[in-house]
Amino acid sequence: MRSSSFWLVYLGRRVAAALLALFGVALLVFVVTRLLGDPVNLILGARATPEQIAALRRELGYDKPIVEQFLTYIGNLLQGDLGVSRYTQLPVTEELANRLPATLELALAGLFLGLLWTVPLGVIAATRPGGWVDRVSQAIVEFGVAIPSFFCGLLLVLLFTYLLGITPPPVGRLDIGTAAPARVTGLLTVDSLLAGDLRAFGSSLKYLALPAITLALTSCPPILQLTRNTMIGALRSNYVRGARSFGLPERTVRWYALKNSLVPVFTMTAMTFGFLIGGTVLVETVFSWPGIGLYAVQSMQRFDYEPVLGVVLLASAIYILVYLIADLVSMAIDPRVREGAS
Amino acid sequence: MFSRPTLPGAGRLRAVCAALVAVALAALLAACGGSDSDSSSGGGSAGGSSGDTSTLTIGVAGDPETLDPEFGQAQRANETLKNIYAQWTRYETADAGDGDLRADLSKPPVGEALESYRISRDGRTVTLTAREGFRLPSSGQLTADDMLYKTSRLLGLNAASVFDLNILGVTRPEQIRKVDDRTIELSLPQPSPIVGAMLRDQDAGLVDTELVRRNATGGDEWARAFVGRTGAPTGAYLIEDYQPGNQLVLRANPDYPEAPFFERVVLKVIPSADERAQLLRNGTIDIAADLTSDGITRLADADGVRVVSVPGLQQTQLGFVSDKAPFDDARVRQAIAAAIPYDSLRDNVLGGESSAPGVWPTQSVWYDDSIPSPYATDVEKARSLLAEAGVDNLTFDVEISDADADAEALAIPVQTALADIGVTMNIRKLNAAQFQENLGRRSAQAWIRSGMGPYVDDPYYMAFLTWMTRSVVNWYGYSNPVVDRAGAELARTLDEGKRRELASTIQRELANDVPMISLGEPNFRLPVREDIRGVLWEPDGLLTYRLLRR
Repeated sequence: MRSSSFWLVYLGRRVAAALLALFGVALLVFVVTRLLGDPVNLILGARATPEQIAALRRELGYDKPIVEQFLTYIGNLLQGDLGVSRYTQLPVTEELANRLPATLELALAGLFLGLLWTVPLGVIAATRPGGWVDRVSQAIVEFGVAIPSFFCGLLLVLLFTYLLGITPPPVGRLDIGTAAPARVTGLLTVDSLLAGDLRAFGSSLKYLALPAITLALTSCPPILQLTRNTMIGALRSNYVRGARSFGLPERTVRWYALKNSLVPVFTMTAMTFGFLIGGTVLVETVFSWPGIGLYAVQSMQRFDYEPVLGVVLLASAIYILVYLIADLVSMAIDPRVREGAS
Repeated sequence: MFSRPTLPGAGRLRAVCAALVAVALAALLAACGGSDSDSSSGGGSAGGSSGDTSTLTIGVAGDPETLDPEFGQAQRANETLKNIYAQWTRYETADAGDGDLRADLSKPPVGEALESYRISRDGRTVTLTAREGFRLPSSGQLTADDMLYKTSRLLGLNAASVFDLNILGVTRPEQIRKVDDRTIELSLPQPSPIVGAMLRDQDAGLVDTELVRRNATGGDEWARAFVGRTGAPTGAYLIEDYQPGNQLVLRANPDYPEAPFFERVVLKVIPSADERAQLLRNGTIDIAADLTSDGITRLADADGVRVVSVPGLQQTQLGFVSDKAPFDDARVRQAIAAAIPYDSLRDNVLGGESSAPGVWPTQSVWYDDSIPSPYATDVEKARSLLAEAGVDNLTFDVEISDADADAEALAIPVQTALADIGVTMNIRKLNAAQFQENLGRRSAQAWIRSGMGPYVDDPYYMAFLTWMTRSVVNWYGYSNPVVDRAGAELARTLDEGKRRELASTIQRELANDVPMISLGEPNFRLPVREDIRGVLWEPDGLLTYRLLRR
């Protein structure tokens, strides 16, 4: 009973904090986008009469005080209404639903590739701190953290597409003109397999390669660093010394250390994933990847406020949700975290 | 005491990890090389990425914002709308050299979906007859009901595109009536000389009536949501596949009277202008759209690339808000005009691809070259005009949009030139929305904007849109009773000789008043692969896909 009330209270506090954070994000983005100017003239074009401009301004509510506009926006938001894109006339929710799978696919692929190289390399580096593997991994971490993702993407395109000619040009998710497989998940690699369309699968995989590698190189190095550091700490801990002194096999000792190291790595992985959902903007732009990041950029260029607000809120919500889940999972599997929270 | 912790199995672990990474990378790279598409390579390939000569691939900066002809405003949407909706009329074409074409503005437009449009002797009744055999995808033969539905939709939605009818004096549904199954009549309050040209506007494109009606709802009687998202095309191309943010694939309309060369046209969204240019260089795409003048100039010498360049009607203008100081004095405006180095702007900024500037587009068939141009560089005259106006140490702000690279490129040498006569011009760079808002409010002192030019080469159109006191694009605060009277008379004058006189009157007044300075008239330029021909220039600067060929 005491345990369940602890969880309820903890969860309640975290959810309240998450909602507060989302409100803050909505307020901030709303104010910033409104400061950028009135889009009505751009929407209607040069031939619009003053009467048409005034009518649209009324229709969009831009003639009302900004506080009232914000309250209306929040009211609609609470009903799940993210508004309508003023340019495409489509509900933002629908546009986001169309584009989110592209971002998810890219983020998942980037994270998968990132884990594939960062965790093993971190573990190996920790076994011999200061050794050549460790030094190389540190250099990679510094490179990955320092280099902007768009620059890394451009370098990879230059090398693999234009110089070596082994990857396709950065023109989206499929060969130009290739029809997408029937939508089930929105992830082209998955949908093409479900449709049994191997050609589309190969096409989607090759277009996914470079942007995913870009993300793996630029967003995942902190996972490597954390894996290395926690693994070093674990290997130097008393329980490992104890285990060794009891004569446990080294493989078992190493497994114990790895298990204890993985909790913070798991949290960092979740945070990286959350970051990738909103952080793929530049990579999506470089690779013409039609996800929510590119959608936000293009909407911003057209002064189409609602999509920008929608993207930022969605990315923030996913980040907060993923972080919350990671937090809860960490507490569930690690008594030390639970102890700290209580 | 303690040795550095080492794992006895570290070598094996390393090997396993390396194998995993290698497998993942190999899978990805194998996929890259495994496709039979040639899109991967940097080598040129006729037919764009698909390697299919019946497909035309155009790299564009973004999606069309709408597929509804009543709501198109931006260039990308307008071009798409022009190609997927049948126009009532079209311009005849003339040879522009090198296999390309230009609209023949010396002749009135001819019917496209229309078999004919006839204007009564008093000029107040226009009879429109649908072309026999012209079919709409869902509705079959184009009928009078389809034409009535289109005009009712334009008036009913009352979007900015209703301008097409309003400029003819058609503002109410009662002014349009059905005569027979294939004929309707427009009743105009006064004769209009631009009926044919206005019916060519992409906003006026005919929609697939039956499809639109099927998707209308109680709260959306004109199916605005459906048409905006899905379109209801009737033109040379229909929509095969649309993935917003990714690509729009058009397929030739089998019912269209003239089969286009390209069976499919792919509008591929490539947000980066540099990337579009690079993909054109290596043959991945056939046409790179939405590039700046500078970007196009850089492609001029690229292997395998041809830059189509045709003199057009667009101007880059330095506009003065002439109803407030300091530009309420014509001598100040004339002084600025005399201080600008037009030849240098043409050669150094516009890459030599520009006509000499005029108060009226010099490529217009209505341009009167006998009127002395105020756009001649004469620094001494500029100084003396300023002295005569009693203006000393003039300082003013000029606004430009941050989305208008061409305006910015011209603003800087203008600023330098004005400094030579003691005038300080501060450049204020605003975001596009703010810039446009300020234009409408006339809150700036002056502004520079590219792409200023008429979609219709007609003096009444230009006067009505721009130069009359109450014109919607009169961002100059310009008011001249002589111009107002000439504009009003042009609206009801059909005689070409008289119209030419009135057009000259307006140009003479503009040359005296200098409400704006044309900094140049950049050519219509389009970079294409060298095997692409049939590029048609029209006054709207929008590409016509059906005439393109390889």
